Amino acid sequence: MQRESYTTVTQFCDDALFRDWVITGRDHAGWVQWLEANADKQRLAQEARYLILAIGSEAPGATAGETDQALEETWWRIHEQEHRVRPLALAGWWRVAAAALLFALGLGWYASRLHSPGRDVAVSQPSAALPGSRDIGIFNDSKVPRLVNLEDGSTIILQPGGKLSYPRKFAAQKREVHLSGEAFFEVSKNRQRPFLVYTNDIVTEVVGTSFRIKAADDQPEVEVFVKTGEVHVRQIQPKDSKAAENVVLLPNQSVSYVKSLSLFEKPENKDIPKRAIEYLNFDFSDAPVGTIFSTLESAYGVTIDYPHDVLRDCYLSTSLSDEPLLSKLKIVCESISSGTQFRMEGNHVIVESTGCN
Amino acid sequence: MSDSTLPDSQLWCLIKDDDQAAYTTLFRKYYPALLGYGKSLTDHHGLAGDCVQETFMEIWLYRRNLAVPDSVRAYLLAGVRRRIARRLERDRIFRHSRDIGEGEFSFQFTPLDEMISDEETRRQVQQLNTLLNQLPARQREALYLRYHQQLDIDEIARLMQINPQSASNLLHRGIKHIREVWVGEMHTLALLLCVYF
Repeated sequence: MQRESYTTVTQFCDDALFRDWVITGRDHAGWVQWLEANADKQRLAQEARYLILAIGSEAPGATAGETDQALEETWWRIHEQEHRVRPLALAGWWRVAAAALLFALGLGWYASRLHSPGRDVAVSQPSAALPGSRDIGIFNDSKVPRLVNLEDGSTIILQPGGKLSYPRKFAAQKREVHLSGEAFFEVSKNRQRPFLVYTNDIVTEVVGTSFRIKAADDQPEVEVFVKTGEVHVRQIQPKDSKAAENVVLLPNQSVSYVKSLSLFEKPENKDIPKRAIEYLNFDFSDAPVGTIFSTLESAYGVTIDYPHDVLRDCYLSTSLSDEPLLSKLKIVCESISSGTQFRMEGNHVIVESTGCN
Repeated sequence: MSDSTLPDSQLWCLIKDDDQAAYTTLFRKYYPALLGYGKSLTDHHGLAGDCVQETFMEIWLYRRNLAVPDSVRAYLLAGVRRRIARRLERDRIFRHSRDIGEGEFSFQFTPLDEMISDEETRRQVQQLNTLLNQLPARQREALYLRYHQQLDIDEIARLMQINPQSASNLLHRGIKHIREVWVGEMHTLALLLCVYF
């Protein structure tokens, strides 16, 4: 055994098995035996043992909870960076599988404009946000749709009169937002963290899909319509003590929730409503870049500034159906050329380009 | 799916393939150690946390271009150290002031009390510990990196931006100094050894 020829304290200190014995007591009997057989090494070993005990061992600088919170913050900063800096190559997990369309039709948005406090359910719902992180509340009192970017890469187009609240950082297990009024949701895919949308009466859970909700405060019914994938809908608070009913909807199905009776009607098949953004398939075949940009402008209610002269003769074929706006913009910019970048300032997209390939 | 039993190099490869779970595993594995190290380099604990996060951010943002390091632990520790040094340097320039001792290794060793069962050992270890904590900062840092972070001499040298011989010297000089001051009492103890083991 090489150990028998040790001549310095350091050799013992650097011996992983020796250190393991001192720190954890592993193989105690074996070491006692070895020391008895090698009496001439006892002094060195004892000295090394004292030294190891005096140096101590690594103490964790953070608890598991603190670590997870830091992880959460790091993801958030990564997203910020990715959106601000440049069109990075698209990461797989960032790709979007779910696009959710939420609606509160009718007079609902008039009501929310009145700022009547009793209607402000959006902020009074329990939230599983991280302790210490405050919710962000947004009220679109303008006449144009307003684009909201969430930290997880999801985007929301909040229609005029719509109110939205969401945590600055989502909780580790789920992403929860509260809506009153009308909004179009594009949810980034993350199976570990379901995306939940609370409206007054029901909660809608995204399992990778696109769907639409009509949930006006002063309409008798709430309607949920699924375009693709699967959606779970349930009551927030069942009036009687029965467990909340969970309705599973598949593509082209819709269900109505009758508020006065506190129950769901039977799901039925339905045709795709002729709403602009649902109607658009964002499939472009050899289309001028300008056409693609103006399609995105009208669909999302944003303005896109781009160098018209430089991009005049650029044509693209691309399919952007299931991507959120930011992903669509990234794909378009990357497809034009590596010298094409974009950034967002509120509802305003600024594209800079040195031309196409 | 990745789990915490995978070796670092494999986790790193998964991260290069956009594996979020592998990134989470790596983060959970090293964040506490890195934060501990960061805090021993600056009293601004917020700054330490920031620099650890930035080190991890860089991994994700540049994952496609990053080579798999020989030692992920050494790579991360070096990243945190470099960032903190840079930030402190910048602060110094902007504030036209100098925080004495900032950026210098301030970690204090704590004895492993739970593995000590008798008073004699406790007394010896306590004395050694006091001597350890009086060593110059760079010697303490080298010992910390060697025995708390399990880096080898070459890794310590790269991290502290010195040559391997100097790193080795830092370690040995520290231990040698302690033994010179302390060794007097060892002779009487040698005979009693087996009792304590």
